Amino acid sequence: MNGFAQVSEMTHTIGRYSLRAVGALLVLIVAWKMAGLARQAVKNGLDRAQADPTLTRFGGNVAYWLIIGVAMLAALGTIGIETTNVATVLGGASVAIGLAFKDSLGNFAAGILLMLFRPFRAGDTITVAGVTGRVYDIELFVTRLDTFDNRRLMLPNGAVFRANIENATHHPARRIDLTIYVGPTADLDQVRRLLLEAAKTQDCRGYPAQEVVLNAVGAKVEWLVHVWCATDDYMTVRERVLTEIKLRLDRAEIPML
Amino acid sequence: MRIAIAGGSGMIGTALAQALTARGDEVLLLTRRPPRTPSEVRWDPIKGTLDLAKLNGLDAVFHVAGAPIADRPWTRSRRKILVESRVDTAKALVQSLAKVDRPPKVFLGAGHLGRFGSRGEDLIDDESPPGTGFLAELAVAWEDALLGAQTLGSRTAVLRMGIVLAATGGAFPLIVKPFRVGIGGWLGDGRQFIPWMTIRDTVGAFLHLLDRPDCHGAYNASVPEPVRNKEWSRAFGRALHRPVLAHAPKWALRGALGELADDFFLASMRVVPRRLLESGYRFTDVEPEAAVEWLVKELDGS
Repeated sequence: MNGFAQVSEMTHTIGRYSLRAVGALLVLIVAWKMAGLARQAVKNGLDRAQADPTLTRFGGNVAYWLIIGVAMLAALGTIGIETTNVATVLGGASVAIGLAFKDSLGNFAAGILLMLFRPFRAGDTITVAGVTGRVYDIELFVTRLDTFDNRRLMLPNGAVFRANIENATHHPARRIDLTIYVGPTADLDQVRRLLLEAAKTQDCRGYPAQEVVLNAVGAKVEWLVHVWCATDDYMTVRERVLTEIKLRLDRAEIPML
Repeated sequence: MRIAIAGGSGMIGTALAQALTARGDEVLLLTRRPPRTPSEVRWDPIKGTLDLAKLNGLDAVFHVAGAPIADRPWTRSRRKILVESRVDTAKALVQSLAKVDRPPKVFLGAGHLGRFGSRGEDLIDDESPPGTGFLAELAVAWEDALLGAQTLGSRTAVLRMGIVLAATGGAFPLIVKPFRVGIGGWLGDGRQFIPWMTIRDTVGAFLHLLDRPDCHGAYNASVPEPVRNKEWSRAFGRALHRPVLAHAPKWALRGALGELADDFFLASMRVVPRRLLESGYRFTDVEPEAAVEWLVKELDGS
């Protein structure tokens, strides 16, 4: 009799709580769907406003996590855990939590700063903290890079923000610097003419003109060749100019050292 | 030579008429208003009514007509005006000329470099493929209409214009104003290459195409050394002895001007006038600062 009452009481309680759990789960599922929709909406909106792709992804993610966060609180409330208490506890523990999350929050703040000051954008090729890659996106806590051999690198935003950042694709055009060594007996005027000829195969109209500079003499003679090109064409133009130099020096029978 | 100019009261037309008259050519102006002098001929560009007798046996016809492109945002009605005033008038003029016994020996028209669209760092040659967007499509249609004059048996050439700088109108007096009071600046990030040319080079290039019997087809008309918007703005500042600090952000231009901002003011066109140079034309103004100094002198002198 007593046992029956206990079991009945238990099933009742379980029933009550499982109902609540189902409710909480429903809240979470709905919120998850909504958050996905909201992320897409924010992204579309920013896309239409032709905002930067970095900002587009970031804005979308912020909307996503905000909704998920609110839903979490709501779900806790549905189960019967007083969210005001959670907030109070969180408030009381904020110092401890703050300390625990110090690095993460630092990364978060750095992420915001990277958004605001934009030393680089998604798609830029940067060298930062000893690694080089193309920026995939800037997340809440990490900046994601893809290396040229397609490895994904995750850099904490704090580290990125503190480090020296080299942005190779900031300017639409950049200079190719080539160093060429020839023997001391090679005729200076001839070499200069050949190098300039090779450099002029690149059309520099609208950019600074091609330069050929005698940089050092001695056991070998060092020449610098400067050619400007569109940043995107850096590798192709560099290779082409090098080929032209090699061909011309070979034809004139001037060996390179 | 007897030469007719459609759009003879416009900025380019006026300068062209002056230069031709100065060297002893006889100039007829095709105008929409009732003729006031014997050198004016009534022309309704849409209906195509023309005093055909006066157009018989001309040495050359110029088509330099059209509503200004960058004057105001491209609303639907504005687009219609742009298409009508350029494509339709060009077609109408060619059709009228097809009716005369002896069509002109030479037909020259003003096209637009906007046909290439915004191309970033790519060098734009005379033979580069056309771009997309309203301005590109307009410019292509209108250039094709002008080149339609080839069917008349006339030697036909089109000069593709960028920004033509003149003291008498167009963009220059408007650009100079903010620079004078020290609030001039570049547009967007200022990295876009802008094709430009002074009015005396525009007239010079037209006369060059007129006088060279081997010149036909389309020619890019922009200075030999392309320049970025920021550099160009700084040249204005130096020529006027004013600092250049401000700039108009992209979003503001887009908000105020819509597609006109992206297709025109923010478009990057690294144009090279290869065919014009190869045909032997030598530019008077190649460097922005000197060009602006000359134009400011003209503006203040007149």
